[in-house]
Amino acid sequence: MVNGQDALAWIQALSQLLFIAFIIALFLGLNQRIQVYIWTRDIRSKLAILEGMAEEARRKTLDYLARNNARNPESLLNKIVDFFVIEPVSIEPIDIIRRLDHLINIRISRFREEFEKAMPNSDFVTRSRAEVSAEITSALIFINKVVRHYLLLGEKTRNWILIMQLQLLMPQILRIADSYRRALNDFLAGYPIGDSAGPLVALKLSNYASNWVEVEHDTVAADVDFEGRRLILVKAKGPASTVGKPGTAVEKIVGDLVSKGVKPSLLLTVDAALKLEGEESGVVAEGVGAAIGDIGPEKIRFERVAAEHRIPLRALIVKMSLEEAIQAMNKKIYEGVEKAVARAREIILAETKPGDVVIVAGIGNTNGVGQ
Amino acid sequence: MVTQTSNPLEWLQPLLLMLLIGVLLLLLLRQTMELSRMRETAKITRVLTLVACGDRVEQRPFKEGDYVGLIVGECGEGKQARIIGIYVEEVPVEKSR
Repeated sequence: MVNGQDALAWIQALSQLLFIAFIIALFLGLNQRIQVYIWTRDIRSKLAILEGMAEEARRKTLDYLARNNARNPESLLNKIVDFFVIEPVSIEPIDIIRRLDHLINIRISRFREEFEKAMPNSDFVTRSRAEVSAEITSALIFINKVVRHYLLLGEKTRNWILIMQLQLLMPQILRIADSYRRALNDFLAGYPIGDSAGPLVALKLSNYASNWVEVEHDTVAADVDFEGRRLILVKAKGPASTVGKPGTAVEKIVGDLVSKGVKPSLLLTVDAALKLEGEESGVVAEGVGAAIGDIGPEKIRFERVAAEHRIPLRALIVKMSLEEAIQAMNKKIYEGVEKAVARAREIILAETKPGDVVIVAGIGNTNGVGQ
Repeated sequence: MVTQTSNPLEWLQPLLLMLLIGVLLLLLLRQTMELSRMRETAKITRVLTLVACGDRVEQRPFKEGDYVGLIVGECGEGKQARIIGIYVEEVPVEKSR
């Protein structure tokens, strides 16, 4: 029979053996395996949230399409979700802007045709919102797919650095995905978003003129008088959810003016801009250059036309976070818009004289901002 | 007669073990709470529409179909009432005592 002291001795010997085995296992990478297991569990739980967001966006978009009597909403959405654009060759930069512009134009017309075919009885505004909601759904599904890809790849190749990086990035990815999820509701409801700051400034500068005309694809312009100056305002055609083609429109307007012997004295671009963490939202800042977040073709048009005709190119921005830019406009941004209108008027008065022609382009998505 | 003397370090081992388990449980709880925080619903907000009649500006709740620039009717003396702004604001939540 084993007495108490013998049992204690056995327990001590066993625990020492386990401790030694544990130390050896640590050298063989046990700690990393435990860590990777914890990271993987964390990523999987967050991936479930991402999947939920993508599914919710898909359902809402399908509801919106069905509510507006779209034909085959499911097949339309599937087509849009997997649609892609292959970037032009950049190793040979000659005419890259023209090639990129061409691809963007094809994408725009493909989307437009698909939605016109599926929603022939809906108006431009409804179709544009359906288009944007499909794009948001596509973005959420894409985020979900990419995260899942890296998680599975990390597990498959036992690449714990990949899993660690993904786990560290997950809060940021969730934050972006959550912004898109909320943005979808705001777009569908027709609220102006933070990015609508530019078009709203242009509308307010026009003093709600009634002579807005379409000058380019989804882009309108108005000609008004301001303190003796001829003010030409450009914005996307609202209240649809579109950014228009402000660069092309301005290029066309300047071309028309120059052909009549009139040279604009100032070209002012107004846009929403991403603030740095810690900066206040709704703050207005001014500078030089084209304030437009375009990937290239529209922005370069402003720069080219300004450089070619030696027109001062000025920029005015309203600062906001990424979340604020794509979600319903908040009071701080709205107050920023009021400040930007006042600042634009000051710039025009200070840098031009009566009789001059001034072009102001309000850049951004004009969802919920008409003319 | 042999008397057993108690070792003062005898309690240290289980104490450390319990402390370690406690810390691990706290970390687990923190992670779970982080996830539930992420699942939390949005703050309560309301969307306001600003309607201007001349220099007078009134605010009302947003209605479907509202957009900035929309003329919503006459407001006397031949003036037109027009939407000049739409923005969202947080509704202050009263904390229960």
